[in-house]
Amino acid sequence: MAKSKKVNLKNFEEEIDKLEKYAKMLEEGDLPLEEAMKIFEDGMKTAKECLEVLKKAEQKVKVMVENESGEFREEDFPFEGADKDGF
Amino acid sequence: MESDFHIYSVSEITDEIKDILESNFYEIFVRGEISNFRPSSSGHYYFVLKDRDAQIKCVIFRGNIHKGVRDLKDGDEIVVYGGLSLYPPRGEYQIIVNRIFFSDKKGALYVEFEKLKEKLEKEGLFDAKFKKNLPTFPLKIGVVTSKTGAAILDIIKTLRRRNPLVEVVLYPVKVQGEGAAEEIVKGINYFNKRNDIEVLIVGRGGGSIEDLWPFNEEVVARAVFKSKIPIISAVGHERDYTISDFVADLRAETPTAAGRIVAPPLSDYLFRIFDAKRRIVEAIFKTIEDNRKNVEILKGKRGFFLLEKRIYSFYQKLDSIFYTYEREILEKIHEKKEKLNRLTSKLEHNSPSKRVPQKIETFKALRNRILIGYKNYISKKMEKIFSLKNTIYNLSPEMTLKRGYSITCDVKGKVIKSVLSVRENNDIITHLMDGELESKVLKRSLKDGKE
Repeated sequence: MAKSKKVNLKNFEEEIDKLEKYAKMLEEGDLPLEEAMKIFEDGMKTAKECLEVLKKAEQKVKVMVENESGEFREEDFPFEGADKDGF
Repeated sequence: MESDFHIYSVSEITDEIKDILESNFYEIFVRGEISNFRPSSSGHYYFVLKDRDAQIKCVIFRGNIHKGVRDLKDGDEIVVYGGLSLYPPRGEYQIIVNRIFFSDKKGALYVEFEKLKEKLEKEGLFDAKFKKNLPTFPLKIGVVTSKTGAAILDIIKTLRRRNPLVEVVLYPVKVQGEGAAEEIVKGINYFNKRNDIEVLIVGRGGGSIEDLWPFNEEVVARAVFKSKIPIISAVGHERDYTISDFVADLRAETPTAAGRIVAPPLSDYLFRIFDAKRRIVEAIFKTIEDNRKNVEILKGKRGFFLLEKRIYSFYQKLDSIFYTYEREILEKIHEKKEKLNRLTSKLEHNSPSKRVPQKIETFKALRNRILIGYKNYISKKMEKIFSLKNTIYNLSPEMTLKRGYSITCDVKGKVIKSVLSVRENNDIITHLMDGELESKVLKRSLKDGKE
């Protein structure tokens, strides 16, 4: 079994797919115990990392600002209005 | 008459006419002069739209009344936008008006809208085959709208609630007035030069037709069409349709809706993770348990001891894995429990229950007073009833029975006054002076001989 890579935003969806695949493999129950155990361990690790990615989610909102020479840079978007609405 | 002629009922033919009318004229613009303009008590507005040779009834339902409708008067030249509808009970058709455009200038805008729509449609800009698929889970989205409008806030609020993983990049533009269309085009093109933006939302909040006009301009339509990045168009309210809505890969009814469409809610993912985890845990326990059972069978055989040891080592491993990955959760549960305990004791300390017994005493006293009052009231009533009883006795059915009359009731004890209230074979009870008779109705006849 391939060593699991660290879950991040980019591979997050694939990792959830993998978790579901693991669940199915284990449920079928024809794996040798050692292998089942490895899958179990990787599954628990992946689930934890997936949840951490979700937990750390913090909306980033940028606004593009153009200078005189037509170049753009990103600034944080000030959305106090959105903050006050209980989010 | 030819037998293969289908004879319609009035309802049938009306249904068919209704179907033809409503499916062919559900989105029309009609120019004309108002006459017989009148509000109804229910809040809807009725009028007749006419020109020199014809007239058509119109209604604006209460929900569609927008600014200016109340100021309409007979003789006004307007353009209405809406759909035809037939009202079968009266056999009348009318236009259900969604919007009204007042001046000739606005009327002209609509003619322009229709022309451009037709032109671009012919060119194929609205064709389904050109619609790009939206990414299922974009991590970075671009928004082309005003920095100060409601649209960007609506989008951000929606995403914060549903999916805070998505990064939003705003390209601020004017969304109405001179030069707005050009800025919108620049915004779309800008994002297309970057390579990190997965989907665009282009739009603005609600407004008048003039306010929304930039999104009806050809340059915007073409930029939307040309964009390599899929575009969600989100202009105005549910009822507002703009040209860019037709060209975009997807139309959202409002900016808030665009925020919902653009990314899936994280709760979906949470659910999937937890569900997969639950299944994995259940399955591994079952796997180990199955293996243990196999070991039982081998008990006493050679190698049994080693196998048994192995199984226990698996259980130990399981524990340590739980400890590694679930410790945090266990700690959290513990923490929550502690907090609950603290709250519970605090609650008990300040409990209103200490003050309750006193209240209960007051309540009991009050209740007793009410009960005594009620008893007095009842006994007074009873006295009165007894004294009335004697009076009534002389007029009572009992006295009547003594005179040789009888009273017939149904089985429920309801007095039968009319033969119509019983049917044949019903059981009836007849009260006489000294007892009752139970009987069955054999036949019933009315006085005039009819059944």
